[in-house]
Amino acid sequence: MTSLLSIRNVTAGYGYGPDIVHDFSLSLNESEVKCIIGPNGAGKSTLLKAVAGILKPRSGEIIFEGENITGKEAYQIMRLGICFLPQERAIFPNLTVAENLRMCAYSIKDKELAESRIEAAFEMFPVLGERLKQIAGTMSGGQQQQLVYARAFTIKPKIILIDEPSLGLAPALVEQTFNHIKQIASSGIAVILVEQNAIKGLQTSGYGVVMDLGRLAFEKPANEVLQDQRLRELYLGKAIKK
Amino acid sequence: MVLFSFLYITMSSSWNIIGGYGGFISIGHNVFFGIGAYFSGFIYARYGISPFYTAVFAGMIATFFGFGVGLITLRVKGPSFIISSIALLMIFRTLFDRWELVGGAHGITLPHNNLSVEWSKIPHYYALLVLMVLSILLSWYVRHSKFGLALRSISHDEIKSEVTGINIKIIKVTAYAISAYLIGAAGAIWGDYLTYVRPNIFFIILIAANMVLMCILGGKGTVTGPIIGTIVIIFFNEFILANFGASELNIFFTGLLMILTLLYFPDGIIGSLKKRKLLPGFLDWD
Amino acid sequence: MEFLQVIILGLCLGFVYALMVSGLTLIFGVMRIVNLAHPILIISGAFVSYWLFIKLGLDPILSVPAAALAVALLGVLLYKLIFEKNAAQQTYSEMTVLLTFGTAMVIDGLLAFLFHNTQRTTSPGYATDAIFIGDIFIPLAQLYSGIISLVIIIVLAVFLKYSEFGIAIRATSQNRTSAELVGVNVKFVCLISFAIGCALAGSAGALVSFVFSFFPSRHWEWIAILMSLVVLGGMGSLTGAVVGALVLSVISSLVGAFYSPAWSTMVFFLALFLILIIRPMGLFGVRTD
Repeated sequence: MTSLLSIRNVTAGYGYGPDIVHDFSLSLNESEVKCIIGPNGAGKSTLLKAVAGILKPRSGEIIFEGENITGKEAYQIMRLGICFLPQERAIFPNLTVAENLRMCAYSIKDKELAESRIEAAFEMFPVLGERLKQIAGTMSGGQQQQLVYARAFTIKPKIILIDEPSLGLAPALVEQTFNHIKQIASSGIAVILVEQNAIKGLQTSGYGVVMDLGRLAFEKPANEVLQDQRLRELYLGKAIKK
Repeated sequence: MVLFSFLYITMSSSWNIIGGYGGFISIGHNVFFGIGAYFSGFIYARYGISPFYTAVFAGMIATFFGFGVGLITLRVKGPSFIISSIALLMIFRTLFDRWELVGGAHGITLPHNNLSVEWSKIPHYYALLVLMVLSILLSWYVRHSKFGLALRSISHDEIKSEVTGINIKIIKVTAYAISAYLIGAAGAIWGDYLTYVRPNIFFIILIAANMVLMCILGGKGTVTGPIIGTIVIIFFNEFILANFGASELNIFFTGLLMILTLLYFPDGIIGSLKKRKLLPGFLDWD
Repeated sequence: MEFLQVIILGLCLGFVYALMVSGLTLIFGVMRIVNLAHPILIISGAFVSYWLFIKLGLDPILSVPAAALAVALLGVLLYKLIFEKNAAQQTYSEMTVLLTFGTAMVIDGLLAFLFHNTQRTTSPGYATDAIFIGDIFIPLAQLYSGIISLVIIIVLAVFLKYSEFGIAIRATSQNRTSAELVGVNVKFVCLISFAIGCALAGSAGALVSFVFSFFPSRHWEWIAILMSLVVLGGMGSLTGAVVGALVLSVISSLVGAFYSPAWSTMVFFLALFLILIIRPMGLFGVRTD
């Protein structure tokens, strides 16, 4: 069976700098959730950027639904059905909530469909519906977070790439965020999650992918990764001290 | 033309101190040129003291102004600084256009010196030669001194420079003031050479544009860059004037050259050659 | 009465100034390009109107679309040749400013060579007429140009506020990567914004042609004037540009009327300089990403 997304031998890096991701391969099936973990500087975020098209891979191929999307512009990749939520909160702070949602649905050319998707997002996140006229940047952190995840339901991509969703969030918000991610996963969207908070990430995911120094260390079902004593010491460190 | 080269080498080398090493691109730097010219010209017209003596003080006045202005404008960086430098130029232009004491838009007319025609420009020749040598020495000194090192680190990153213990404010303002000195002195000599000092000669943006272009074309932040750049531009301008005549086309070609340099040789002649390791040793003074 | 009259004249001119800077601020917002070539583009627009007026006797007000279109095309050309690479990065650097500076010189030199630096102005019939409301005297040229500028600015504001593409333009100016990630073709948005900005310059040029006298080299003065307006209002914000233009235009008119016309432009230069002192980060600093 051909997988939904396959990353083949991708190498990537920034500017004239060294390679951050080396010869990396990974595949993702429909409605699958994989979590990439690894220490700082392992190249997790770089990999996601390469898939999303923000960073052009130096070599290797990225195949999505049988189509080679390597080197395409980020907006083209997005329109094909890969949505990327970067580390920094990807909202437009000076636009109103309503305008933000309109931007979320920007890629949907069918006006009625766009309207109905936005409606659906309101049902999911009623708070947003109440604050349509508010400037997004003035909402609370949690509400902004909802706006970010509303995008996933508005666009209904086939794959969503999430980079460090819990970074810099208060514990309560982390909980909320992972609930959103679970909702996304249960709606049948495939997810690649990059997460520092390895336990949380793995608990949400089907598979755990361990990355180190830009290379694939190994890939296992998430619960096995969580059980693996050796791995805990190596990659999860103190985070799961008993 | 030789005089012109001396003048512009002095000015572009001086500009290079703040614009090249310091990274503060000023397109209003001829303000100091005008201040120097007006100061010496005014004294000459009023009290008969030759600009050759007062040039030293003209430079000081320019430095003094540079210090004051620098304290204000060097707080901003990048495009804001460039625009503030244009604003400065326009303020001075308007001021001198209206200031009746120094002749308003007509400026000051200076007496000719009493040398015969073929000898009359010789003093200017030597004076500008001295200024040019001084400017190159100064540029060399700044490039190799601790002060220059601090200045260059500021041009890369002000905050990082500050945390290494550099008093960035003093360094920046001093560099700005130093670069004003020789430009002011050169202005004094040039005013005497032209025998008139007018706002529409000294406070036009084209002079500053030339300084910037000469540095960038030659390679900003290098000692020899402004020299090479100036020589190339002067020859280029002469060529245009000789072949096409109109000075409007001169503006056109100056702009075109600036665009092409920025797009294709942002490191300038010296910088590009150096990168490719093709720079002859006698031109590498860095 | 005289006071009121000066204010009204200042406001009329203020709207023309606002139109002149609207394109500048739009281009800065989206691409972080401080376009020093904007004033010379306005003068190019004025030349288009002038030429149409001389050759065909076309009223400069009617030639607004033609001037806008011509300058927009010129803008697209410039963008493709010079700015495309830099626009894509959305980092404002000294180099891009110098590039626009060079561009300004190129157009200036070319126009001056072709048409010479003589003062020109188009003189439609209403140019010397005026209406009186009570004791207040309003020259028609100022009144018409002010009204048309206001209309164009309102159209622009509505477009940016409500249209899909307008929102995309605003989104891009706030966060380019995010815009790309929701499927906006950022390069296309940049190109169109640049073209719109230039079209605004062109239409302003048509109006300028009968309000001010113009000649190619005058744009150096206008660079500083326009910059003072946007810096006061906040770079990249249309509302800010309009407010800045109105405020400074009125002050300048007052200085011109009650002190000396010779010093009225000084208001702009001093304002520009002072704002940069009071806000050392510059109002540019507000919108860095």
